[in-house]
Amino acid sequence: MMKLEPEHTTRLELWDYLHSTFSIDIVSDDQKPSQIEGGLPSDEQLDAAINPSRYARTRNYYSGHVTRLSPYIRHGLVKKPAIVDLALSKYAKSTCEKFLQELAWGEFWATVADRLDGDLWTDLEPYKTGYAPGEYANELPHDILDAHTPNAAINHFIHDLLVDGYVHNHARMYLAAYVVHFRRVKWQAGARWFLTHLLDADLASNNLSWQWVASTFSHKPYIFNLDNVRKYCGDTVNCDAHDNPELVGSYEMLTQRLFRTAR
Amino acid sequence: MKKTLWLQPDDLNPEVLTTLVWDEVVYVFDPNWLAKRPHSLKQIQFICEALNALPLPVTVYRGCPEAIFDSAGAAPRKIAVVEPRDCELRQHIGSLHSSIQIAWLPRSTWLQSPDQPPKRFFKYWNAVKKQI
Repeated sequence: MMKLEPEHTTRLELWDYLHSTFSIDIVSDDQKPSQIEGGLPSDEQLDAAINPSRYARTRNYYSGHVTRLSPYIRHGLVKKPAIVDLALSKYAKSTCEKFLQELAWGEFWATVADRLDGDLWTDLEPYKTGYAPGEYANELPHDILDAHTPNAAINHFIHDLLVDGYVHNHARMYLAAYVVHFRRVKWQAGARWFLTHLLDADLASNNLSWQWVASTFSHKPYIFNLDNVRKYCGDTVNCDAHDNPELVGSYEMLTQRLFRTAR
Repeated sequence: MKKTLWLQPDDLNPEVLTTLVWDEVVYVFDPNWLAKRPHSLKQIQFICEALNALPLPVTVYRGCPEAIFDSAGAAPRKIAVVEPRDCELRQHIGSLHSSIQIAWLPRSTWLQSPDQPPKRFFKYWNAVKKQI
């Protein structure tokens, strides 16, 4: 056993110290710390982050107003009741509805997980894609792990995951759908990948959300196309059709291409 | 007997950290858990930075909990753990050698789950929103 000395003058010094201490434990080849620093958010930070009105209007946009507090909530550094109190002290309950729902999703997933008696890696229902589980790959391909897929937008989101340990919620859904439906990889491989890198990784929320996208915990598979990425992320992310060839097409075309049930 | 609070990643800042009196507060990076649940260095750094910011000093270890809590010559300890939300972590801690006697503390909850938890979110939301 080893007693650690986690107090260092700079974040980079701590990073170097942890790198040498945990070199045999860690699985990824991280180059530098995330921009998101661990700690207790100040009242001012919380006040600036929590704006349910802007959240309701812009949350689906990559540059929209989301709190980015999820790593702190996930580690119990800020509690949901405190966030709710702050939101309701500034806005009417009706204005806060979408924001409160988003906070409640994590509680919902936890109740589902409790019902499953700890088995969060088994398909809850069959895939509604026309494919059997055995037709999905067990492992993520290297081009996904390395952010070198044929699609610039997907690579952008993977880069967020690997560099910051944080991905916008809408981009998480794009990534999950890309892995499971465009590349036909088992959701479990993608869920493990997210758990390894996300600073807010929560087993129940993560795995059940992947199952929702995969259609093993929903009525139909979730997919997207480049037009949708352009609408929500086009101001920041390269959505040029030439740079995103796999994502181009109408929903009807993609459904035909991706799912056996549609043929 | 020494009263030890063993912090878990789900709740690094539990209410009991400051409402109860502890002889020591510890955090353990258990290599067996890190092997079961792979971590990035960013996640480990985030946790260390958070531990540094807590209102009480935390002793941080890398090693097997059995070796840390049961080392020869150490004073007997009463080890309290706030029950993690993560069911696999809960199982992992529960499976540690019986030489570690753990007193589980209830985790804080925001919304009380309905008696019959619905399968889809919006039914759940309609059942719990009056609690807010």
